[in-house]
Amino acid sequence: MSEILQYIPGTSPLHHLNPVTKLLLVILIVGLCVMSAQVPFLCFLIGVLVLGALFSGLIKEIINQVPFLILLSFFLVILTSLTVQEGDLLLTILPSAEPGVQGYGITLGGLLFGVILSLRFIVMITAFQLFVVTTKPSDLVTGLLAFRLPVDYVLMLLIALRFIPSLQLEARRIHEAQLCRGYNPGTGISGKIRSMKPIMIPLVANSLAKTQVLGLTLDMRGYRARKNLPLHKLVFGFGDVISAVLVVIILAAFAYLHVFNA
Amino acid sequence: MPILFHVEKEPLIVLSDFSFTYQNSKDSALSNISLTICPGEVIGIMGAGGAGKSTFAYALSGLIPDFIPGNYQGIVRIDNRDPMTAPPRNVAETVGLVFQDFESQLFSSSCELEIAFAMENRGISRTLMQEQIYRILHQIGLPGYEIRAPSSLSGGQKQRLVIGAVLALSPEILCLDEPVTDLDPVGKEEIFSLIASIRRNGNDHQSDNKPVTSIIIEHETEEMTAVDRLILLENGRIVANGAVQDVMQDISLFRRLGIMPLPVIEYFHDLSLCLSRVPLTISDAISLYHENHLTLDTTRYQEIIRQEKNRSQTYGPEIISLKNVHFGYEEKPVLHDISLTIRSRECIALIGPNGCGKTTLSRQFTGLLHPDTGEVTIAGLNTRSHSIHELSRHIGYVFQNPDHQIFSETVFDEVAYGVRLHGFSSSEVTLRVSEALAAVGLSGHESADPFSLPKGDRQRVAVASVLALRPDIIVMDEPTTGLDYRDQVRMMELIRELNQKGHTIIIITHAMWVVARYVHRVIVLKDGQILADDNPRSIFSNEEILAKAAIKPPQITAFSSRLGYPMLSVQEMVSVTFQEEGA
Repeated sequence: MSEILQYIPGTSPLHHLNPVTKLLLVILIVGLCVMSAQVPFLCFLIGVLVLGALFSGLIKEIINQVPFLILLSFFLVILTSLTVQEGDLLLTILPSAEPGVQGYGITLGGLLFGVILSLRFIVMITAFQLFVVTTKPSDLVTGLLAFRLPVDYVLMLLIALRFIPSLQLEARRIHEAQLCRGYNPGTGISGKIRSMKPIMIPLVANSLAKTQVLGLTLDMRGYRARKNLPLHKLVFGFGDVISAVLVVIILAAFAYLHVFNA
Repeated sequence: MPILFHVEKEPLIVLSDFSFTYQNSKDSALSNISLTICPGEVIGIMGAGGAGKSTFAYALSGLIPDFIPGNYQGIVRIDNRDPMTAPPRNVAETVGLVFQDFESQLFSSSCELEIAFAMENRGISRTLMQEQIYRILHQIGLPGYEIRAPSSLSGGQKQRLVIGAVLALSPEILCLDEPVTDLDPVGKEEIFSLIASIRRNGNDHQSDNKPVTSIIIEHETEEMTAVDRLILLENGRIVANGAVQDVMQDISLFRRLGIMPLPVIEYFHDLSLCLSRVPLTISDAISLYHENHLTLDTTRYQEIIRQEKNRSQTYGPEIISLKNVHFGYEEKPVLHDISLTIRSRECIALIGPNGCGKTTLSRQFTGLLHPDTGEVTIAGLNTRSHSIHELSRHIGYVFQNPDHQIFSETVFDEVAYGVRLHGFSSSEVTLRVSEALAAVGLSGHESADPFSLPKGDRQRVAVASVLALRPDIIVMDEPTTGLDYRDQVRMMELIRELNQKGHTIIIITHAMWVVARYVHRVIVLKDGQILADDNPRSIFSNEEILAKAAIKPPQITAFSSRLGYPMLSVQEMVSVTFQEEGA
């Protein structure tokens, strides 16, 4: 069973980067892709991420996401094509009654917006995924703390990530238990939603029981009386310098596309 | 406030007329408890489910009321402090708490961070933290595991890491609430020897070398013989409190409370012998046996063996057949060339250490997994060409945790779920549900909310929901785990009844007394292969197999085997024992 959003141990350049640097990179990339509406620039960002993944031997992780990303893009393009009416009409669905006024249909603007939106999501999801799978949860915490995020939220995120595999395993056991009673994972969307009940109720009930133990455990290890001094200090290294250079290159590309091409 | 007790040592824990009621509850969980505990003592707590054991341990550890809210009366003093008014930090620093569910107590990404967490919160310097981590990892037998992820450890290792994480704060009191319930025998052994070493050496890394006072809640009587003092609870009250021998010799009290009596004591008790001393170990029992001039009646023993041999005549035709089954997860072989035939009406146990392939094998029976090569045939159906849905009318699988399947609002709906999915008419559904509930002894609970039932009853609801499909074969994964002794016996009696009614039974278990008392055939698995397949008496007296599969036979079987006649239960052994003439 593949585990989602779990740290993959390794020694790649991305693994060695300081989590603060990586977090800055993620914020930068996400920020840029939200601001930019240029297809070539978004493709460039995806290229950077794919190169990063190649360098770190994590290309398999990215490829595994492709079917999901295609599905997501497909829905986004359909949604925007049907809702955004801008630019030339490519395919008329409802012809206009008034002459000279464009009818309702798929427009160039709508299609383009869908493509841009899809590219943005691909950038964001891939960047976040690369960040999480190459950053040890403990470093993640230290990184987030460096950004002055309240420790409670950081720990919350850390524990959430830690329990994803446990929940996956638990869900599989529950699924098997129900299968043995003749459970049928329904067909069609409404059937699928209705058939979630025998899986979701035990899953939620069990998780709630676990949180009680977890809460008491945190308390008993002195969490409430915290004087936090993390075990490991963050060290900035060669990779972090390289990243700084990378940031400059990305910014330059952004500036080139937006300022000089405008 | 000064303590008014004059014992040799200054007591560490004092409870005086202490009562406690949980928030949102009417009944008190603890009533009028008075007790003193000295530093370094190892206290064992036993009692049936709902007797208040956990609450009692939390009160002793000073967790009430700050960590566990509710109403209390009486006095608690821990190390001369009142935990009711002390800030929470003090309590967390003096008490280490370990629960049964080790998965929920490990939340870090590496072993060193798990141990460091408590120290980080306390603001201990980095170099000292590193030293402590190194020492604790050695103490808990995980040296060199600094950067290993806790999720990659075995059950026993995980629970040892939990204990290590708790030792990091150098607690004076170590409180273990059923620490071994979810572990296999190997893991159990690891935990008990760790507790023994903590007791022997104190908390190694503690600079002032204060003794660690331990409080252990545990169901297994045999393991409790190692404590200094045993306390029995009933409905939130102390009913026995004293040295292990003194408490354990009261067999009728153990029976009344629904706790398993120590087999060797029960044996002499049932022979109505007046003993000079109370045996706790097998060697104690053997010398008492000889001192009292007891012998075993060979003719009666042979009669038992003969009856056992005849049992196979009651079996029906072949119902499960595995031919050269191989199975692996992603290149990693789990089952290796398993061939097996099971006849209808057999009662079988699958045993072996964790990771030996028991669960994987049982999933092959139900069609949840299919062999890579080889054939599995259930009631004439090849599992490869029939869906789990079809197979579920012939083979029912009761999972270990009933909470992994209960989701309905009433017991009736829960049991009816599977039957309805198979498309039966509503009158047939009602008939089958009431039949299944009657079989598990839950008639009349149809409209109850299954989540509000006690664990033992929830387990029975899970059994009923499988029974309602009237399967020929019932597979049960760990049917006694997490239940108290009384419920374990009730569950096993139910399984015996189902077997007598004609169901073929396969249980997966780590509880060897269950195997000895209730099962007719044992399949021992090791490294994905069948190591032995025989009746329990032969398995439990075969030293080689026991050693290879790390199986510890029940105390009474080990005791009688030493006398040359392996016996499966106290009652059986009593029935063949007689006292020599003139003794």
